Amino acid sequence: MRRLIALPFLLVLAVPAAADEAAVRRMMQERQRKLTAVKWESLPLQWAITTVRDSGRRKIAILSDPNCPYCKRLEEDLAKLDDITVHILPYAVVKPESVRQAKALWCSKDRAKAWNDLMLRRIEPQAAPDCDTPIEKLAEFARRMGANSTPTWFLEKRRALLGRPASGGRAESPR
Amino acid sequence: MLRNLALAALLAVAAGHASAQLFAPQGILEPEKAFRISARALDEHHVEVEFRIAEGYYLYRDRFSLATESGKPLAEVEIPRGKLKEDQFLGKSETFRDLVRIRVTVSASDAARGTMKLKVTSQGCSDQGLCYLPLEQIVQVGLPRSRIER
Repeated sequence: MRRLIALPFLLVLAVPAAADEAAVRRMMQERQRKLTAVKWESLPLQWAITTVRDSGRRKIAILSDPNCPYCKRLEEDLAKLDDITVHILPYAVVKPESVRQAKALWCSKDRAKAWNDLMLRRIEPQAAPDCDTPIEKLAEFARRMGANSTPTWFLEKRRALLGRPASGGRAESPR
Repeated sequence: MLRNLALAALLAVAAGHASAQLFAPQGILEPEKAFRISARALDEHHVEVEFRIAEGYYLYRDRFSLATESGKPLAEVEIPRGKLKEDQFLGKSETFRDLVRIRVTVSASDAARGTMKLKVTSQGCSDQGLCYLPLEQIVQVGLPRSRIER
């Protein structure tokens, strides 16, 4: 008897949770759909900090923030690969100081060197962040496409990818 | 080592062979779902904001900011100490997993209204290898009437 009463009660409880779940899933799918619809050709690569190694045959574009640890690790991994073109789109969003850093990087004489110095060697950019930069426009572009996390990256002819590859579980380890 | 092989393999694929999205992490949560917010009144002048953090996700202690709905920062905010996390790139920072409760003192004028909305900003990451943009959430909380006013 008790069980009979409990069952409809549980069902009532489960309905709002399921509706919530479905709403979140719809939101995720929508965001993912928008993000994966992004074509390589539509990326504003004129706002990228580009490094070409060897033939530069393999192409990757990354929305990357100077204060995102996984962005740094992804770039560290990429630094070991040859025959690659890396387009960094500085998406200064994770911390308030990211904006100043990204602008200073853009205003540096050698942007690629300044970016790699900061990302791989923790050397802060020295240039004054007072030149004309695409940092705000880029943030607007990335938000509009639905990129709500970094790194978000793109391969030529492929869909958008989130996060650093194969880092599951290990990324949190202290070193 | 394994990771670099994985990345190299992915890029090889990208260079023009079969099969896509090999390493896109599965089941990444939307931030609203990874960091579930709620708030309740503790008494007439104190509110507790709670984040339930999904497993495999974490929030940074120094990225919280709490304000009234109109954006006025709340002066008295007590955030507990987090767990010290050392990052080879970013140095030391305090983080929370699982659960964090933040205690806020409400001004007399806000308390007198009987209800208030808080604008709470937080920022966190997933162990799957990504960090979210700061997340702004609005929570409403009913405040019990003070017995002295009436």
